[in-house]
Amino acid sequence: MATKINRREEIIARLFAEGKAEIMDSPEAIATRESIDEYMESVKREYQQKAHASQIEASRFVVTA
Amino acid sequence: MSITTIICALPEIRHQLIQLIRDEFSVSQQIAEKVYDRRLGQHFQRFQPDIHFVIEYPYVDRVYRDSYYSYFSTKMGAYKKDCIKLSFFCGEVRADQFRDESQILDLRNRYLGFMILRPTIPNVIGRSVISPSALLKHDFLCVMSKFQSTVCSVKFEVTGFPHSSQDAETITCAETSIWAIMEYFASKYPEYKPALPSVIINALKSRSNFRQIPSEGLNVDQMGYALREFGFGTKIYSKDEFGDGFKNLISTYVESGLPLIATVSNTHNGGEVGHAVLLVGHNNTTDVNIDKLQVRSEQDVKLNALLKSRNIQIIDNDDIERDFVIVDDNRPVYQLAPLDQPVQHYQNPVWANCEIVHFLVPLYPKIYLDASLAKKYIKTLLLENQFNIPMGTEIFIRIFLTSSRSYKDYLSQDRSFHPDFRDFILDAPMSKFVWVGEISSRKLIKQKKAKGVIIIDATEPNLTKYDALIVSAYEDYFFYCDDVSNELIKNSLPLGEFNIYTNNLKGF
Repeated sequence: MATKINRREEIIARLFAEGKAEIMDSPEAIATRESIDEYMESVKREYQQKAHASQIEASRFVVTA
Repeated sequence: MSITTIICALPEIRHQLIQLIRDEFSVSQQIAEKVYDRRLGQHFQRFQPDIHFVIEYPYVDRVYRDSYYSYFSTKMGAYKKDCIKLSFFCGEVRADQFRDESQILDLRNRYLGFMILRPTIPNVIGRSVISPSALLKHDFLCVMSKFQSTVCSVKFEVTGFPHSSQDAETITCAETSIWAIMEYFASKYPEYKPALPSVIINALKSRSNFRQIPSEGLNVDQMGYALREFGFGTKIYSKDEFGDGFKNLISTYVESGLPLIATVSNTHNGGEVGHAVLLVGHNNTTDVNIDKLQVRSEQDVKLNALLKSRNIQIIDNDDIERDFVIVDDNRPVYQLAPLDQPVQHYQNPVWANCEIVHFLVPLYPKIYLDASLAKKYIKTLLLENQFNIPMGTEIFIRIFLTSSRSYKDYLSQDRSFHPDFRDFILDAPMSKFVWVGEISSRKLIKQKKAKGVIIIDATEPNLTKYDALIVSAYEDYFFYCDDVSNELIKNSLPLGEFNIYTNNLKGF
């Protein structure tokens, strides 16, 4: 007989049933997420500038030795 | 014409090779001696004393033949087209062993690689793959692959990283670096092909306004272009732009098991050197390395503020001051040097004050999340309130890229993980590559153990709404993002201590 296994789903269901899982939808949790999102957007912008500047700088560097 | 074989021990190699170079490459005794003493001797001085050599000639080498037909044969001078092949074995070798089926397995176990000598005087060292085990000093970790070769018509396999010296006409350090990268990836993954010198030159035709051979070097832009043409999603990092985090990023990629091309220069210090080397590994991490590791203040204002407000200190594996394994086409393979002095082995004052100024990363094209973003994201997730890390805690963090296939394979066989957490990760859908942050402590990491892990999707550059988060876990909690509601779910599960992942460099 065929066996169907999805341990991940079983673990999720069990943790919820045992009261060991909670959805992070409190105002504090949402504020934390928004803070991370905002920060990562700024980090990404800064990174893109550095990455682009690296490309421009590298184009002038000649490797000969 | 027939193939001649010479078998000799390390103390006899100088005499044998000088004679051979003189006779086969048609140079004077004096030049042959100079070639050995200035170019070859330094390679063999690093060998284990019981290494034996099998020398075969004439040998047809695919890389040199490519240079010969595309360039050397077009010159008036009489260039030879055949090479000499040296094969290395640990311990004594006899010719009859290659014809005795019962002894071939023993020979295969003792095979330590090969080196081709091309008739491009004085730059005679061609394609070579040498196992670190052939060297006196081999207590380092580096990316390696398996390469097949034949000795006396018998097939052998060596594990190492490819190396060659530049011939200074068809290949300079730039082309040699690209060639070695492609040799490595082609031997490891079916989606890549080796790139012979003429293939590299052809790939750059559209990016070159001027004559390409004899090579006058490449600019870094062209090197990046060539790698992209050969199937990589190449990334470039400049020291001027990434500042204090530059060395840290090099270490992250090396820890990820990726060979990097580093450009080395002293032009900013008044010199004239522009050179390319490969960074392929680092020395083993010792307890002393970890004890000496200092907390570095984050360059990023927000991360720094978070660290201060939470009174948490992060010590980063990538800040360990250590030697890195460098493959330099002017030097014997596997040089060990700190990132601040990548060419410290050079005696010539022309090379003084050289620094790594850029590095190129040959990334799999569908890795869209780079190391600097992944590291900041992992640190942010760690420091935000999710884990309730007590104030005053010092955290050791180790961040690397790996394939989800390798990571899951290691996890499936590692019993140190909490079984539920292990199954949870194993059944999680993952991108082909993931960023992994292992969270440990100064004490715990000495036992190669961690107590937290954050896994990030390397194909997701959008780091908002937990889109890139696969799972984050530390001590008694783990988090994941629900597929349907897209909400973060917090779970209580004591993780305990588990083994760190060491598959990238096959060690820590």
